[in-house]
Amino acid sequence: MSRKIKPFIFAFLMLGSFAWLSACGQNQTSQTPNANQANDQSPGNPTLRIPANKLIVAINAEQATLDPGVTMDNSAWKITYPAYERLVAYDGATTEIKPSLAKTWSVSEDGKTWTFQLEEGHRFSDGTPVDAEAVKFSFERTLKLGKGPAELFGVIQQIQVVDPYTVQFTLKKNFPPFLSTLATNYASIVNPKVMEHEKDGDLAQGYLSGHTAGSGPYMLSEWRKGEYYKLEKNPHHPNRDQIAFDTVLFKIVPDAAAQRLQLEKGEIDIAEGIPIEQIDNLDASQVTVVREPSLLVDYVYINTSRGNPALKDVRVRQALSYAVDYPSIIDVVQQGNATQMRGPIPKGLWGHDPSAMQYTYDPEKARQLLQEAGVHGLKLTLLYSDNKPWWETEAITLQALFQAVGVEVELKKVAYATMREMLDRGEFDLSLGVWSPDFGDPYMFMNYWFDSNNFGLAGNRAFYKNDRVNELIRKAATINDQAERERLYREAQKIVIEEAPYIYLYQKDFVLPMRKEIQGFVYNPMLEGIYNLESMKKPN
Amino acid sequence: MKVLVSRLFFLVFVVLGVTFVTFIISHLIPGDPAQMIAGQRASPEVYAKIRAQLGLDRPIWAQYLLFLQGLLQGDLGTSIRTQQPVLDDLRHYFPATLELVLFAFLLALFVGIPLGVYAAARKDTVIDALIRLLAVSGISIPVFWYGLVLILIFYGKLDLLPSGGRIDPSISPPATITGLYVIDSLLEGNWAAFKSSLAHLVLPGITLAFAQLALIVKQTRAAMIEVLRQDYIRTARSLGIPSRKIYFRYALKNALIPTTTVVGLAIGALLAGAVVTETIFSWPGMGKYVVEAIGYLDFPAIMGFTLIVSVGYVILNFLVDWIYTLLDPQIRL
Repeated sequence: MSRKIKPFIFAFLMLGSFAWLSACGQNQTSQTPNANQANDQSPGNPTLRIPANKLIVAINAEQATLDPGVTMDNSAWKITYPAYERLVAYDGATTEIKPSLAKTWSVSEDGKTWTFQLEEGHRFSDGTPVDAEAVKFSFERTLKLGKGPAELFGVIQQIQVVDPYTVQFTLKKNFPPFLSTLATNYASIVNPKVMEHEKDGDLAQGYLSGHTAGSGPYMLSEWRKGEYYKLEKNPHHPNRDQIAFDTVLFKIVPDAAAQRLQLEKGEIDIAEGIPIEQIDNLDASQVTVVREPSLLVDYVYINTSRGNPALKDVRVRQALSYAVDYPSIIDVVQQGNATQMRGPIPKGLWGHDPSAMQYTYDPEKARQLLQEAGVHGLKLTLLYSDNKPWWETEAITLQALFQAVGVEVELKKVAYATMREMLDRGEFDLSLGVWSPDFGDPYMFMNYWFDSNNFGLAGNRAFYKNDRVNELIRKAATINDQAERERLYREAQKIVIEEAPYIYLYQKDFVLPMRKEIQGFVYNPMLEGIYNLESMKKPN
Repeated sequence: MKVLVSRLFFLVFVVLGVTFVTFIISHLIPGDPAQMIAGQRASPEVYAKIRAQLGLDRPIWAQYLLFLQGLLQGDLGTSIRTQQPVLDDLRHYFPATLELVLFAFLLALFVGIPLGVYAAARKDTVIDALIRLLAVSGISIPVFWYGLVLILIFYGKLDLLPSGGRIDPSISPPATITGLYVIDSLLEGNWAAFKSSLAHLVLPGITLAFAQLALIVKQTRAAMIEVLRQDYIRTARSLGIPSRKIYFRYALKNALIPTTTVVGLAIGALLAGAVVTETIFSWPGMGKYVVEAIGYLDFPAIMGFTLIVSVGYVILNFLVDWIYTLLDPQIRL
């Protein structure tokens, strides 16, 4: 062998040493003394890798803060929601309310005083009992922090501890959706002892951004930054012995292809980050896909009073609604993973009217309506931004559909911040938009979208005013009888569907691939992306 | 000594310039972190309060002065997104990136230079052609593609290496000494952690190194061919000095000067390229941290990152200059 080859050999020895390392990677786990625990991670094991008492969920990114009084980002809630409890909870897959920390409650005649009886026996993860003081502390803390979640509880005037297990809220005005706001992540009850971790008057924000201090079935036991969040059972939770998973790992796997590979190989149980266009190609013998309508709706604001004057005519707005080919939009823009809306209140939320009128694709009728309105050569602008990745396709599709009925649309793509400003001032004809509710009450749609006091960003982005609608929805927002409220909202819905201040496009589907062996997952549209960890399980 | 002082002055100047430019740019892009915190439907009062808490209601120059004031006291501020001191965040994410970059760097260096030398020695043979092919592929194939291909082969098909992460979740990482798992576990004598962290390092390391390795091969090969044509090499050959000695003792030293420049730039490129590699391999490093910070307009975090990278660059430049003097006595600082 020539000596000249030596450097070459050296280089290959380097490479060879990696091959050796690869072998180490393969063997490492079987050599670990704690083989039982380690083996579940070992590549090369063809059977189920993750034991039945452990769940691994792949998430896309690290969360910002885990403080329930601060975070507005529902991707953080999958970690916080199971770690805290709230006075009330959403019942199963519905948006109805059931007891949680509170076993019973009552509301005064005028709707301004709510009294909650707490169930005894709930304990924070450090063993401290959950009492009325803790409830008072949690809400006052959130209000004092004054961040996004405080907005939701602005209606609270004061909170009183009646006795150790009775707490009373006094509201500034009657606000029927109040109960429903108490089931949200923002209403999580925090252990008052967190104040021991307060720094520079931050109300323990620094501590709670990376720790949990709740009474939920789980607690955050470890956060290895950039790698995973580990939840373990709250040792003081009353149902701890019925819970199947001892540990739940939220593993950060930013790359979609890596997630898919790991899911199909059984190294993770649930993969959150697989793009919709790859879902159908997943290995169906290993993976099942949960597909349910979400409460995130995608719609078009028609500026009824500050945009092109032609849009004041209800016939023009109806024409636009008839010009849209809904099934095609859903196919093209969402690969079929969406459901056409039926009026403003989405399916899955109480108050949704399954018999409401739904616009269909009818270009002939659209042209006819435009003619009746005496509108020719209509030119409109369509505002959107890159806030949603699918908006570009959606805007172009709508442009083509409107073109087909003789309406010229100029696309106006701006920065998201700019878009928000233009929406607030009403400087647009048409605009794309999305909306999802903060709490499970039709108030989130009807009162925000149609009350003429909410013009602009506040919610009425169509600048739409109808006195009868105002009357109906305002009344519905002041009574506590749910059946009566539902009736009022239905009547209002009829009008706002007929008058078409928005084009009601679709509600996006929630799509989640998981291993076939996972059982008991319940999808609640108000808790999108949140797992009912305490009742999920895997067979042994 | 004089050199050191002037270099230090230079460092301060460059770093100040970089922070200034970054600060201005990041504050001029439309968007507002207060809006991210306040959420979609916040009232103007809540929004204004949050802006005031973050100090965003003050004029830009006042905000910049405040940043400099903190900097002098060694305080990079609190991250808007994570609510943690930026220094703590960076202290956590930086070692992961450093470990990956160092590994890739050593790989590029110790595989790249010998391959370059060998290709030059066997110029115009099949082996030379193969090495050049490797170099061209390294430069032209995008990182995310071969990263995924490596995962597909070594994790998906062969089941030899993990697909991502820094260490197996069932193994506790070693206590922090340097923050580099491989070194810390070795120092600790923790064999399981050492093997796991090294196995996790292989694929992302190769992925990150490949492009720079290719550049180093190309550069070394070209420089070597140039040097091998010179008279003193011919003289050495005629004196019967063994080839190995000629290549590595006499020729390589002269050929290394241009390579050193490439190597210096390579570290910078590795730091920048780490973002993509970290994403593909779920590597918990700084790249991902800063990408998320940018999406959130988390000014303090963005500034902290920029600061570290610019200080790193300046120091590297200094090191490269110093290595020149070792290689070529004619060059002085």
